[in-house]
Amino acid sequence: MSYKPIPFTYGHKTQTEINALSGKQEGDTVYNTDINLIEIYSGTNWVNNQCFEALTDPSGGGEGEFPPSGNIPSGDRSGQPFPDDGGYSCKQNLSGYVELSDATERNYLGVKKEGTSSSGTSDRIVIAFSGLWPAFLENSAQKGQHALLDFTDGLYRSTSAATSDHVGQIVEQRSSTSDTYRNYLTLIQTVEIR
Amino acid sequence: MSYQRFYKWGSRNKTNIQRLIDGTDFPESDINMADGVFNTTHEMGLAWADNTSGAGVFASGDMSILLPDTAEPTPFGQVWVQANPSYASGMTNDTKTLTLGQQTVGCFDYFCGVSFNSLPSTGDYWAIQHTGVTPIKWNNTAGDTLGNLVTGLIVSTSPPNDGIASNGGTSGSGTFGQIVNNSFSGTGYVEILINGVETF
Repeated sequence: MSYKPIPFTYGHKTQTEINALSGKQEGDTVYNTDINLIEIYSGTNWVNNQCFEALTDPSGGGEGEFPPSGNIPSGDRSGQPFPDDGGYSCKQNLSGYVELSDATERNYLGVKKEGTSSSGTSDRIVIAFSGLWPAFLENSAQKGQHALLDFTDGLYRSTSAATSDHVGQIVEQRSSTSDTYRNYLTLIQTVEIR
Repeated sequence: MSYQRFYKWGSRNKTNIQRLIDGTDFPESDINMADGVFNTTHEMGLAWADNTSGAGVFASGDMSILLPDTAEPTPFGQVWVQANPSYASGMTNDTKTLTLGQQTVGCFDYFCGVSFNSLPSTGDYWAIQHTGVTPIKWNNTAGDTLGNLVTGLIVSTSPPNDGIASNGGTSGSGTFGQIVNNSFSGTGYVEILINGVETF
């Protein structure tokens, strides 16, 4: 019996290289060297085994918009639009669609990994439910702090106090803590053991 | 009908995967990015190689690859790890490093997972399992004997650093996993169910 390397469609590539790929077809595969996972193209997005693809809420009102509408309210990037690549918190609503999460843990699904959606449309976005992913924080953070769901829809916030309702563990330390509203690498796991 | 297995390093148990990482059986340079291996220990399935450090590390979907803190003298495998900067001496900014779990009360709040591999040299990477079932080193000095281990017990932090102990059958302060298989206890390991961001 002999073995050979797995025939990925696109071999191994960085996230930047993957974003630049053209001509992708459903079922194509690539090894993402930024996140160390094999990814499969769904026809719309790249999905891996720490994520799933879901439809955003088309009913309007702002909750189904990725990125959130409006501007970053404060911090170094105050007044700037929320970026497309933000790791926004997601929840499932009673209609079965995905929307920006509020501060309540109930119905929380995970962090947006990929995709955008405008008001009034239902689009496929990718949501990570496990693993290390960027989470868009309301405030600055330090490694070891906990991530909580923020009162601003779609955002997380950091806290140093241990709580029973934290949804992530921040594992990234930055040299500057003055730049608030940014993505911090956070360990998440949305399925509780008990 | 003949066929070829498509994962380069074939079926290997955890010990033999560690030998690949250590460069024992093959030169470390033979491990290429995205190489696959079927991990037969605990039937965890396929794992993928990252060789950016030159030594290679294999991780599956329930793991993430991170560096240990440079202050760690003994980067073991199958020990619990944490992210708390207060206990990461020598930590520098702009890093994504983890340190061995500390016995200090409260450190369980910073639990991130269990290391899969030990490291051949400084600068190599850890595959950190953050969810699911994983073997973990049992601390013989924790006050519980190996013979006391039964399925269902909740485990907690215990001295020395990186150690775990039984917290009895109930959740409570310092608990972060539940024993699901004690058949390895004779060799100093048990299997526990973990969730990397939950502290019971």
